[in-house]
Amino acid sequence: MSYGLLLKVDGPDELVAAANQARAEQLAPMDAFTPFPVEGLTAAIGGKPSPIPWIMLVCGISGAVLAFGTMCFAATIHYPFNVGGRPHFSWPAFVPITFELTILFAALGGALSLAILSKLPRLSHPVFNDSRFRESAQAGFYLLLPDSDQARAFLTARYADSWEEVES
Amino acid sequence: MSEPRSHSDELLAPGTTVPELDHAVAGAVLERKIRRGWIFGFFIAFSLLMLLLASIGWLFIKGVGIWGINVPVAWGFAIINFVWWIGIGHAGTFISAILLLLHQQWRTSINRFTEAMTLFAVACAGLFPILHLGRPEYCYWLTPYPNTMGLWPQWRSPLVWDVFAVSTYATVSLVFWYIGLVPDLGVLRDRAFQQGKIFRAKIFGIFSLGWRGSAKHWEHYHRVYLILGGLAAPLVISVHSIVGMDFAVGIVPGWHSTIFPPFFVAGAIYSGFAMVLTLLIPVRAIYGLKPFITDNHLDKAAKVMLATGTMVWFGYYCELFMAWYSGDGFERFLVWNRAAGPYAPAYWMLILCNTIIIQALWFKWVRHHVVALFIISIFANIGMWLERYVIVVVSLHRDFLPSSWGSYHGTRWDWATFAGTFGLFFTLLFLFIRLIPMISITEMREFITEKRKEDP
Repeated sequence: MSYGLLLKVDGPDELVAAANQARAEQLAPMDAFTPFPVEGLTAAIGGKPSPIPWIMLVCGISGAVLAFGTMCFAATIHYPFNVGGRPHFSWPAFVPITFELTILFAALGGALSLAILSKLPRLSHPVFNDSRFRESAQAGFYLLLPDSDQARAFLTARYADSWEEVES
Repeated sequence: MSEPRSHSDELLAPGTTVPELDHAVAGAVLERKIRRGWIFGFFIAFSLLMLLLASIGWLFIKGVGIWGINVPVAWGFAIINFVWWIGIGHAGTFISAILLLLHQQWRTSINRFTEAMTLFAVACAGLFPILHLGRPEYCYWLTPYPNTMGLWPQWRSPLVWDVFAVSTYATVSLVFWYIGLVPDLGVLRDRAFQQGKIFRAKIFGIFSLGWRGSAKHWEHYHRVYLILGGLAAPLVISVHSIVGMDFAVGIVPGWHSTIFPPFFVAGAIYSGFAMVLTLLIPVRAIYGLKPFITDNHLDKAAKVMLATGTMVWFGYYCELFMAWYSGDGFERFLVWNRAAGPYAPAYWMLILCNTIIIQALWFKWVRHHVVALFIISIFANIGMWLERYVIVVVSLHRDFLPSSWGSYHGTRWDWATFAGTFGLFFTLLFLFIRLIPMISITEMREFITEKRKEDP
């Protein structure tokens, strides 16, 4: 058995339609490949929305807490110093750095999550064995179905020659 | 009304296809031969970069005395150049992030280039806070590192806020830019492989992290990208506000003004867009990118310049008005000194550049006239540099006590360091043009596909 069956379609709408048809026939797509993000495709291949927004929120909040907490600790407990009788807990002055670190942590958290959840870098993958996939230089729209007799029948019936086996 | 010019209403030359996009953009990296123009430009830029290294070396050996700073003008070109370069960087983030959130399609073909411009501008800017220190070897004292003296940075100082702001800005811009690049590097990897350029395919392969356009990855990707855009947008405002605070917390007349944060941000976007125009106009002509970076794009950039230039103008007016309205003798003297004192030529030149010359941008024929735009954008950048110069030098050289008055002029090493930063900027830019796709192939493909659906 090969790694999977790769179907090439003409555009994003055709791809979403093909994925929905496959799922209707109990053929859960392994993946789809597009040049740019396509709306509705995640649901069409049976995927879940990404948890990254929540991860970035948590990272941002932790950045804020870390920044504000460090400054408060430093200015009120560890090294308070008297400048003209001004308050030690001068929280308005702590806002800019807190803001910047919130953004920094959220951004870095998002980038790292993207890498980890996508399991990238992964330089080799069976789909690159497919010469048509390689040649399209990321410009084509593909659906990857698990190899089975039912899948082959489905593809042959609807898409004639547009699909290929992908070697492992 | 006469027929619209062929590209004037379009954000894309009609009938442009994805293969044409790939050929123009990926081709500029993979297929285009290196020509004499690029070599000549790179040679000049690299020479200036060497000048920068020499200037920095001499600075570290001899100390900041080689610059023109003195008492009372203890801040000179270093801070002027820092603010100027960071300001230029803000246009790239504005285009990448704020225009993304505002669903402005015209950002699509220019955001890669302008975000690169931002990164290189921030690289130039970031040198100065370290170089201008009397003891640059202790620059790490500005950060909260564990130490045996129990010391912390001065959290209440905008100079320390700057450390966090500029570091965050540089890091987030780099991350945002790189994430945007990953799918494009996948395109170049495959294209290079097809063309038999295996070494290049491997390099692009490594940096593309093995990107294959998987829908599962796109799901994560497009969330990160949008949220990063949302995060980078307030960075534009906050970073230059903090830079403006460097001055606003100072008590000398001409600095101690609450208008500085928004005034600086507007000025930053103004000078940034001027630099965008200065760079994009020749690059799009030389590299055949006019189908993607149309006259409409230049028109919109010019409009943003005009809008932010008007805000800057309002800032000047506020300073004049407040000086009069407050009745404060020192503020009034500052206004007089700017207009009629020893630095009056700089002041009037800045008024000419930032308020008078840009009024030409009200006229559509000017906004569509490429040479006029180019010249105006250069004047705008000169005007903004002079504005930083006037703010820094004029307020410092004559403040409250006449016995403390002095004067300032840049020494050859001040100018050499400044010119050298152009070397760093343009060296990086020339390398970027040769090695990395200048237009976001992925986003343009999406744009072209959408347009084809609208008018097949």
